[in-house]
Amino acid sequence: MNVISKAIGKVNELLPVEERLSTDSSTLLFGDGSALDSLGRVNLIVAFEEQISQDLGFELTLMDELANPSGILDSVGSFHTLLKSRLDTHG
Amino acid sequence: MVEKRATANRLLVISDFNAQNLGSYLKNENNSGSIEVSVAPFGMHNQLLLNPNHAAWEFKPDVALIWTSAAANSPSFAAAMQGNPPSLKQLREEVETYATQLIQLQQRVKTLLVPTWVAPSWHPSFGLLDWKEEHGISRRIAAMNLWLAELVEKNSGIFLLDTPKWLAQTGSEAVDPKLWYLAKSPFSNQTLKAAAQDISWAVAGIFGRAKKVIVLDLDDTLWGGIIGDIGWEKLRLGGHDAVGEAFVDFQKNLKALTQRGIILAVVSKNTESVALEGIDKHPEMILRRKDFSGWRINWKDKASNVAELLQELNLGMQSAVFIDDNPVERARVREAFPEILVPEWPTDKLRYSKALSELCCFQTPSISEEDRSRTSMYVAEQERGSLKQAMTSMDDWLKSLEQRVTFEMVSPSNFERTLQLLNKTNQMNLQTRRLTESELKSWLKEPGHHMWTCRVLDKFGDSGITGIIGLSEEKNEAVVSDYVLSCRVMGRRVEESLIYVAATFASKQGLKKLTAKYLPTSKNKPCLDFFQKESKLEQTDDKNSYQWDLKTAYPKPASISIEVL
Repeated sequence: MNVISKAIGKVNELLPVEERLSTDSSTLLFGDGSALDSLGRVNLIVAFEEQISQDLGFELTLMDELANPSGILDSVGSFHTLLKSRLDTHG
Repeated sequence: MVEKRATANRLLVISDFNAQNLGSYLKNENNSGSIEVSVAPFGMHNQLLLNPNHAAWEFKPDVALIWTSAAANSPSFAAAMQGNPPSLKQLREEVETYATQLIQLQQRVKTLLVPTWVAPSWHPSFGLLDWKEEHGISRRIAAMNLWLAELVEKNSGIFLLDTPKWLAQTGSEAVDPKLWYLAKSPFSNQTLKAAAQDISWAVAGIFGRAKKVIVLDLDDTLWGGIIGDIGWEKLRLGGHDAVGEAFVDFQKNLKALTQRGIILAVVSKNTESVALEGIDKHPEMILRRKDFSGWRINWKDKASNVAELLQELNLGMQSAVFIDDNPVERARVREAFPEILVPEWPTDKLRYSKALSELCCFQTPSISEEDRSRTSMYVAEQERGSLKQAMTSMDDWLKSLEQRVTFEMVSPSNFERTLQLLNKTNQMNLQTRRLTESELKSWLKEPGHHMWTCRVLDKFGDSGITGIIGLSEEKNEAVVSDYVLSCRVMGRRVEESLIYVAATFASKQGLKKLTAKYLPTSKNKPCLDFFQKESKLEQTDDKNSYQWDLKTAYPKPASISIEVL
């Protein structure tokens, strides 16, 4: 999904070349083994929320989602699934 | 004394907020050459300013960026934010204390960049009272910035940076409360990115890597329409037309840049006579032929034309910005010459001036008389070139120029220009010794150190102060510390004049030898070529050193009148 790629692109502007995130569905975001430090995770949250608001026109508060122990934001793939379900809800 | 050669510049970021993201953008910002960045732990600004032994100083920065909020430096301002407005006098005293700290810090770091204070975004506005003396936060911020600017005005190594410009660039997304609460960054990442770009170009400018020339396309870049198809009479330029007005404004803004020493040139796929007719005859053209230091208007490949033109102007690829409305041409030049800055350009003509204003690559720490008249100097150079083509020998050409080269010791009247030449000149520069104002002043005070500037005049005009020769007496030798010549006057035997004056002086001092040691950089090969092939100095066993035995007088260059004041 383009919105995920764009947000990851924004975060990659802050990372050294060798640490940049891939947009593959297996890339770990917030789950155990993620390459991001705490500031990197905050940057990713902010970038995702901005991009969703800009491109999809609704607000998603990822802090709330992160509190969910289901691991729904662990990877690019699981995040993609979450977004799809929210898009369906928002019509 | 620490002398900085042409290597990466070290920038230490000191802040009262989490500036890690700013540091990351600065590290990844690659437009302006190499900067090494270190970000000090945030909130330690007072300790860092006051404690020279703090571990953060082990980084040995060339430049410190000190970005703090007004409240961090002024308890009275912090009180005002809580609704207890102090007197302006109290605030002034606190700003004076801060200014003193910055000035003292210059003993450790010669160049300081200080973003101006802005009102915190979360502060509820007083609205009608924001600019009143009793309550006004906006008034206090403005006054504090102005006081600080006045207090550090005389310290040439301290530069205040315009924070509101970065906020304006990012508009409604300038701040992000989420980043504040989760990461203690009061600015959004977009704002920090804009700041990083500006800061990295500021550092580049301070160390002589600012862009010097804008190479422009014509059709749909300087005017609307294709001149070859519609003729100059029907171009969209000025008049009661939004697009026409936007092109006029764009030209006005380009012309304003020439007053800062930026030169303009044209590379366009057109028939030359047709394009020049538009430049000469259209009544609403702001930029005329005299405003362009050179052009290549033909149907050849643009990248080759750009390269040829820059060579004619004696400027390196790294000095140039290329502006073209056509993405294919932009991609071609970008691919052929990655050193040239090729900004993405808006398709909407009404946004051209804004895009130009956002290029922060032209920053310099000062503007001299020579900068202001640079375009006319290049135009005179074109006339010299035409005369050269008509002459059969170099001597005849130099004689016909009626050149006069005047040497003068470095003094307060030429100090600023000397400093600028030292820090900006790349090609004809023996050692590329970069010095700050105070470093140069202390070098000049040392016994046995001498430095002259040279001014070149000819029948086409005054090229201004364009060269420096520096010597230090070491035992029986005169060692050339600085041999610097602007590319504007290269190849006219001014090179030999610099050596002639140095050798004549050294001989009068009773010294035995004149030695020049070449320190290679990626850009000063022309200097090596001169010393190897034309200087008449002998190469020593140390392959990079060249020497003249002062028992013999160094020959005065022919066809030039030399005067030492």
